[in-house]
Amino acid sequence: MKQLNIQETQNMLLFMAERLMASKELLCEIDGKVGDGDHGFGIERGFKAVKAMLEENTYATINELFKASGMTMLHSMGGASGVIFSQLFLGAAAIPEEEKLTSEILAQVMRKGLEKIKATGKAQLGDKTMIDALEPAVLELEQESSGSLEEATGKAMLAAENGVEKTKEYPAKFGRAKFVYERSIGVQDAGATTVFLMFEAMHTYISQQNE
Amino acid sequence: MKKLINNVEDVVAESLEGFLMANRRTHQQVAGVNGLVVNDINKKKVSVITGGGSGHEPVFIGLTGEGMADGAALGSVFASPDPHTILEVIKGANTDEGVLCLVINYAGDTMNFGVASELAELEGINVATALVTDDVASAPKGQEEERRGIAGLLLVTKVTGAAAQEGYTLTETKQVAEKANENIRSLSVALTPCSLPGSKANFTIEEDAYEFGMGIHGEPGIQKKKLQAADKIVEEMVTVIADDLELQEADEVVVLVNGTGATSLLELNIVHRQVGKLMENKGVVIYDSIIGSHCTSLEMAGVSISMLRLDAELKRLYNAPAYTPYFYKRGEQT
Repeated sequence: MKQLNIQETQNMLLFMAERLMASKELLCEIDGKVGDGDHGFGIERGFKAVKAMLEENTYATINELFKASGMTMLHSMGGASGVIFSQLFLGAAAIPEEEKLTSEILAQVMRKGLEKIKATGKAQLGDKTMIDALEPAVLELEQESSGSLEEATGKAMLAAENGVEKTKEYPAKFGRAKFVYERSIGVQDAGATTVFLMFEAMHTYISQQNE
Repeated sequence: MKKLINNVEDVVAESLEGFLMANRRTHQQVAGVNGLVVNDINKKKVSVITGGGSGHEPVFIGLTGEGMADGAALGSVFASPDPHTILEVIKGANTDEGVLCLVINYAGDTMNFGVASELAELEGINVATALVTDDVASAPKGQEEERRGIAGLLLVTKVTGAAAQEGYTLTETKQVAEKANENIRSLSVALTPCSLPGSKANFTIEEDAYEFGMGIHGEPGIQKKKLQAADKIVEEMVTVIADDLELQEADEVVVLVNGTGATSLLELNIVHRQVGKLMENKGVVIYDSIIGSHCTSLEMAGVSISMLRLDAELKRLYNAPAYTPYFYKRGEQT
């Protein structure tokens, strides 16, 4: 599949929202090991609001669709993850208007989102944050930007998963886990896990459309 | 863990509703969000607002009242409120003199207050922020700005609210908050964990152990230690605080012995007894003490100790009368 139209992209985000809502307990458990165990609640709150929004509205461009999703997350989640994860979608505000989603456009949205997140959160690769999953995933999307969405999201998903594994090796430098620095080694980062789950959901949805 | 709740999603809104039913003469909800302001906002003085995740009651609701904060934005349990909630509270508390946000230094709180402040400025509101970074356990000396904020927020709010009441400008009020923050240190220990509504305990603490250097969200402390007598634990805590604050003989401090949710007043007074003895040995003067559970982590058992070093200005502001439903100060003691 080379591209999704706006409605299909909306369905993909809806599928993602449902998948992430179902991951609440897993994310809380991971976060509870060195954080305060509420990451899953925030993610559920945000994607529940996104789901309700997507079921109610239609959008004229891919940009509006992603922006509306981001604003809904920003104003419903709270916590650091509310600001950080909404920016991933708000990256769509910084690219030209599009009416279809291709690997290249997805890569652009995610690249702009990554830049916004790095500017806000100040985290870099290796700091045991969602960046450790997102940055390699965005790089894969850019490598595969002329290919199919299935291929691109599949590789991004694997890169994110690999990034999640790497977070186990790092001590935390951001978020509440930084206060337990040494004790955070060996535990995977909850935000990075969410990034992986998002790419996994996109890839699963797109793969199902191909069948 | 068993809790007296209805639905997990509704705990913050229902708790606020219950509070407002009891305090409608002094407080009101900010429409559409989990936030509140005091009635009859004085437009001629700076408003002080605060906010953060729920689960720390009486913080943040209990910081609002006469001579204290004028409003509070409430997030979900242990999660910062979103920018929309904060913005509505800023608007609800706004005055001709502007709004100062007192924020404890956690990534979520600073980010969401940051976005909300930008949005408020776009609407023409004069807004400033002061961070509270009192927890000595959370970053080494020299990196004070990295530290998280805990129970010291109560004392910072006390003097900052008094400054606003005295007619300080927004900039001056912020400076008072910053001065108080520079002169306050806290340290927290936990004996038992806490659990978010609808989930299991965050972590375990063995029967013969305690966590040293807790935050206020049930996140593990910096070190697990073997349980000792109260006097020993308090001595360790006070030593860290006094060293970091570089307390000198004849310094005057306000002490806050704060229960974190499930620790009895019986125990808190025992803690304060030892703080008093240690300060006396050092020649440090305890000007006043507050003992009680003011900044909690749900049902976590534990205690935090805070010390605010006073100068003439901070002492005057500390002595100003204040009243919230959960904290009061009758005015200068004699």
